[in-house]
Amino acid sequence: MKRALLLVTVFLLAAEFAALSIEPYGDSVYDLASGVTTLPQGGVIRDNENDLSIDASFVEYKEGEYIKARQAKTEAAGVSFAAAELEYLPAADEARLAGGVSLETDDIKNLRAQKGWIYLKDGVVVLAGGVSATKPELEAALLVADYRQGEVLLLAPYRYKDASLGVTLSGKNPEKPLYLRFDQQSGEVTASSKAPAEVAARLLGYVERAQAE
Amino acid sequence: MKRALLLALFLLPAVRAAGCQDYDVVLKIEQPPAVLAGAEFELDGERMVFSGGACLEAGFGVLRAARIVYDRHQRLLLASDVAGEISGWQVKAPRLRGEGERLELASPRFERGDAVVTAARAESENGGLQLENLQARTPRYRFRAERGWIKDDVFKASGVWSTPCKCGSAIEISAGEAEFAFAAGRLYLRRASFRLYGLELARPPEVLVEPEKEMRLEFPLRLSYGSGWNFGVENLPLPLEGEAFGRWSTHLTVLAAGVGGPLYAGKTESLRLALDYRQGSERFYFGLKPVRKWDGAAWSYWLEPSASLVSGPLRFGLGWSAAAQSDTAYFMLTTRETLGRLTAAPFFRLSREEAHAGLAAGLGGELSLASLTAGDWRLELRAPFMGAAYPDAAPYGWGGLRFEAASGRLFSLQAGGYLAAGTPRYAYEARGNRLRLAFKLGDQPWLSGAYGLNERYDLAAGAVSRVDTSYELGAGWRELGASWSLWRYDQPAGGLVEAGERWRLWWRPPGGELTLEWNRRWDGGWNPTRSELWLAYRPPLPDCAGGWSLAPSLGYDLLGGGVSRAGLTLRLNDCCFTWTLGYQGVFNAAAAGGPVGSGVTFGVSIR
Repeated sequence: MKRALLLVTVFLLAAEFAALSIEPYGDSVYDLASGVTTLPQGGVIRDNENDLSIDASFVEYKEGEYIKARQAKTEAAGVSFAAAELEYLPAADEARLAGGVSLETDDIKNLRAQKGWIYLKDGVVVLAGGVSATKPELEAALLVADYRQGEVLLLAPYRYKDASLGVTLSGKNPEKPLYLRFDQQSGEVTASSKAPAEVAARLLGYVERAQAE
Repeated sequence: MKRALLLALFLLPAVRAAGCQDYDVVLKIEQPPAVLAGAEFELDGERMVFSGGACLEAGFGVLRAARIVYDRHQRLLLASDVAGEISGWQVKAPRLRGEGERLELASPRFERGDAVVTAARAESENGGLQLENLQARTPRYRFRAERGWIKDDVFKASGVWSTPCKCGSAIEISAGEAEFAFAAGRLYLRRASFRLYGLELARPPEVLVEPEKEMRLEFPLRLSYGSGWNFGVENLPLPLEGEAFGRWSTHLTVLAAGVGGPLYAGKTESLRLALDYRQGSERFYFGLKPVRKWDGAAWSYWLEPSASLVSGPLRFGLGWSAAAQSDTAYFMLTTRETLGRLTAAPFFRLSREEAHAGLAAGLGGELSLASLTAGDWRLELRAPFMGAAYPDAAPYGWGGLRFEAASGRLFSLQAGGYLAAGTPRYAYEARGNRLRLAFKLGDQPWLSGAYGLNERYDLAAGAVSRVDTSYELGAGWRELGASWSLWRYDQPAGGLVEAGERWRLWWRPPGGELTLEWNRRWDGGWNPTRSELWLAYRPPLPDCAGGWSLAPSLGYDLLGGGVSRAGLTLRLNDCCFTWTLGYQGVFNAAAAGGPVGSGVTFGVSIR
């Protein structure tokens, strides 16, 4: 899981606007009145620093304000990512994903959620709505992760199955999220039903912020 | 946060954890196959720790502990002080260990009702539990078994040893295997062996034991000495296959009476042979008693038959009339039906008695006139009746009213009056004019009184032969009590036949009794024939092996002086039995012609 989170991080860092270039596949329509550029045939959002590019079937952006993309996907460096709708707000340093999000890496297969929020500066991602993965076999009502610190909260009802160990862990008390901590060096995971109060307060704050939008 | 949580969009498929599903964190593991759960969960390295109240569910049942630890790589499960329920048993064990496919309880203790089972260890097996070196205790039995299996509602064991003895093993029932059906409260012992003091008496293929039911085992051997030796077996059980231990339907009696001893005119010797079968309301009894009597010069011999059969509406009986020195017999068809307030028992009877022989048809029963219950109060008014018609005599009828009123333990009153019309021909329906009044007031202290009048028939003469009257008064408080009673037999036309009076004082501490009596009798002319003071003490028998008590009694004849009777009974407990050795000497007969002599009784019963 640790490597998967790092890969998510790579993708998320790639979205930082300043380092982005956008190349249209077809027309590029610039609206003088609004300052909005539309790529109706889509295009590539390229992060040159991280050598990452995102294909989209439709792109709309306003310099310094937002980039919106539909059917955004990337397949690079062992990461396969797709979102039906992607919106990047550089002012808030926030990316919103909607209409179905999927991510697949060598270590994470078929991680899906209905929507997501990425707080780039803080390095926090929130996935909500039918969060599930097939490897590891995972289901949760909601996932919130600080991908820099390697801390994750799974909100109940959740279920995590480790086939190699023959164990399935589940919880259904919404008041008791499962706290996972990934050691950045060893990759070791510790888990607890009692998250440190400070961590729980901070991460659940992002959940509230995301849901409030 | 609440809002965020409310947005949880779907529910996970519920983890199958029927017994542990209410816990906050649930872990299903494959080795050993179980569900672990707890209020709190920690994964640190290889150890998964459930705490704050943890739960384990396996095929055999659900166990709970403060904390359960699972090492996910070694697949090792550990818990201390587990408790729970397995197949209806409350289970406690100081340690639980699971490794690989196995779950093991160390020194588990199983309780169900009054039954307690302990084992050296218990191990999960095929959805059940296998127990090793188990011991069990129920109110009436102790068990040991090499192995046992608990699965669902059945407990099986092999290498079983059991005893109804509180301690020791004077009586042993061992079995190759046993099966305990909890719901029915029955234990089947198969390939059983029944031993008394180590001596094998029987090897029944199957013995049924009902360990939760209170059992009274009477020792069937009889030995006493009165006017000769009395010995033999009385009600010796003849177990049939499939019958519960201690609940046998068939009994055998072979009892010799009066054998040997001094010869005197009127001495009788007899041998009673009887087979008795009872099952529900069915009864079959067949007995024969050869008797011989010394008339001072020679023995006279006769055979007394005794038989009865009760089967559905059919009744058949054979008996012996000592007065007529002839056998009696009857055959009867009867049934008992309840129709609303009426309970009726019609009968048709063919009988031969010492006075008459012939047919009788009639109806007995009772009519409930009123039955009221209000709070502690209960009132009842009933009208019992009996009527019979004979082909060769005038019909006979009898009936009356019985009133009962009671309020808890504080008050009770019974009154009844009955009148007869005509003359009964046979003992079955013969009831005379009767009157009875009785009351009891208070609980602690209490006061009671009774009056009774009862006319008795001489069936041969077809007339009332005696009128019995009795008076009683009693009072008591806690363990102390006192009573007075007077009875008199009068001729129907007036004139006393015999009368008696008894004064009694008693003290009844738990399990014991001290009694002082003054018994008096008079003949028809109010001449005293007996006046005796009798003192008896029966101390409580300590309920332990080695416990004993000595119960003396002594009667003093106030008329003639001297000791009228004396007795001493020793009761002694060993591990298994209570042994009784008693001596009773009667030096002055209580009534003219009554038995005089000494007797020794011997008895033994399971404690």
